Amino acid sequence: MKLRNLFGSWNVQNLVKLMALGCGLLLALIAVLGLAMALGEDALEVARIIWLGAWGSTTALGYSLYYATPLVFTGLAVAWAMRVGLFNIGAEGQMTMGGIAMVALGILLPELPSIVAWPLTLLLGALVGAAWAAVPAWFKVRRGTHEVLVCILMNFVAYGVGGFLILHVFRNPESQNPETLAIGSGFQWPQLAWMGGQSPLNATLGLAIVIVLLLSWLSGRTRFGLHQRWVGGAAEFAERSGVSPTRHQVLAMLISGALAGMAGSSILLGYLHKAREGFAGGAGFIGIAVALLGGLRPWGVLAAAILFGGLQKGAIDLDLDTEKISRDLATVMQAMVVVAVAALPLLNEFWTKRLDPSTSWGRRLHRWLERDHPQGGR
Amino acid sequence: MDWLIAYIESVMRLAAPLMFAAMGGLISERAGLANIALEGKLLVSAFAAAAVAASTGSAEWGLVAGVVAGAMSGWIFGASTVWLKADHIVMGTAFNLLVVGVIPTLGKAWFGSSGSTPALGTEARLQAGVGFFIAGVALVLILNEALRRTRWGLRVHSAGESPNALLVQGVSPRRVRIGAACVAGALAGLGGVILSLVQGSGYVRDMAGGRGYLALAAIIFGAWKPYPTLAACLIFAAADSAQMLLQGKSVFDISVPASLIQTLPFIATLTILALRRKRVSAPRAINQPL
Repeated sequence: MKLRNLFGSWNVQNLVKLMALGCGLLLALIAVLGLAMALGEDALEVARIIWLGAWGSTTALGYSLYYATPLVFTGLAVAWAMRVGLFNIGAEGQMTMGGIAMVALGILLPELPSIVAWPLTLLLGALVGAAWAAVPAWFKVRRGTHEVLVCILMNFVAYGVGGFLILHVFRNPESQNPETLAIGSGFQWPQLAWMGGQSPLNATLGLAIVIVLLLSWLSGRTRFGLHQRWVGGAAEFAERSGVSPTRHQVLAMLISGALAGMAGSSILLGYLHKAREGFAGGAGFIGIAVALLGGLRPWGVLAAAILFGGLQKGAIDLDLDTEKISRDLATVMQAMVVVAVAALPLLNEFWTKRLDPSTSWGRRLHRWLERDHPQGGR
Repeated sequence: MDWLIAYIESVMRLAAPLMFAAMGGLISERAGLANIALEGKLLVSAFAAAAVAASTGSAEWGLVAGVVAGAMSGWIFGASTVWLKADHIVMGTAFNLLVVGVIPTLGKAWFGSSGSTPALGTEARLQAGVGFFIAGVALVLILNEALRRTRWGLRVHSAGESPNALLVQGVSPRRVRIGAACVAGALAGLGGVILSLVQGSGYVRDMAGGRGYLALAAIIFGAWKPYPTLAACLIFAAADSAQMLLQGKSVFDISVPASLIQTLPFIATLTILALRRKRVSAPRAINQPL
């Protein structure tokens, strides 16, 4: 039996986690559709619009992937910090500052050819994002202030400073909108029309996937990644093994900030080719939900980001196609996903009890898992 | 000297919502419930107060609705966090996200506008002057005594420092925490009411503008004690009023752009936090599941 062998390599723990996550997501879905029904819309119709809006056509899929691209970056940023035990809620500010730095370079040196311009912009975005994240890291290490608070304050500073740079320093005087001058053509990333139809999907999606690969290798295959996870999972063990938690926390925050600093590349370098006020649009906060849903693992984050990109596109279609529902329903869905993930310990406990070998369900499950593998299944 | 009097009055006005939110947060944090959801509670109650005041035309009903909405959201946040054994910060973030999504959804269904409630006339607003500031100072005085001397205060303290001590006495620390979350919600709700019915005339999108987080910073700066927290609130309000005063004016012949000035309270907060070299410790059992 092929299928059972597939399960055989799994243990009950994994099954429990999957059941728990499935339950949580189901409850979140029921809550959101319940809200839609309370507003007087047909729940099935709402679900249909979201589904088709997200994946119904090439263009729809392209939009979903386009919305997903910044979420991959911010999701990875939040996830990396969280694996080291830090909550980077400042990805929004880091993304804003990094993005403006990237656009500023494209405005100031418009002649650069792509081969120089692309790596240079990404490097600059990453550096500025890391610099913005260095402030909470410093507070955490030197003052013991919780990083969440400092990150949030830095977000507000970033809104102000970012608004100033966009409206006063790099502003396009001929435009009615609050936006900057355009970046040089060498800085622009190509569109992926073959994949995304009419959507603004662009090559930065490839960049996001490369970074997923890179982080997956860094986290799982290098000593540095192992030490980072030690600090997050067993700080005392790390310290006694000569791995400095302080140093690794600072490094994790800088890496996280660097990832968030590049998050604007899809919107700014791939589509708008300039910066607009508020271009981050909450991607830093949605990144928290993406990271949690992705189980803090790079490939999980990629999958969660694509799901959330689809939800965002679906919610925009809802805004257009229904009377009462606005695109803010996407935020409600994201919040419910975070609640579902936050409730995982309890759901885990429930399923662990339910599937314990001493219960009738658990006995059957274990017998089934162990039929061909007397040692497997545990 | 007229400008000085106007400035002090403005500080008192702006401090009031911060003080109520901070005192609410202080109670819940002392009970061991990390309360990053203050921002969301301010928004919920500001919206509820403005929506009810706009529908009934009565400021008093708006006030009641705001406080009740605050207490209810406090209960929802406290109970769900405690019963789900979830991380308080993750749940708080979820709560804030939820509020950001739910308010415009309800607003669109209720008033046809996803951003704001209709502007309120004078009869539907509270004319309180600095009354709320005085009430806030009274609250700080009472709270300081209540936390130290009453049975309720000691129970809140134990729930945050060592919940097992409460269990030994036969008191449920979960209940104490959820109760504290309700009180915190009601106080933050009062802060939200001040935002939409006293300082503003109706609800505007994201009108708390980070005041919930500033209140949290005030608690941390104040080492989870009422008087220093009050002082921190006053400092932040002073920075906020200075920001409003400076907007559109030129300092030494240089007109400072509004977007930069608006960061003043946040930069002031960061500076104050950075200057405080002594490490202050949070309640020991904060963010510990029960």
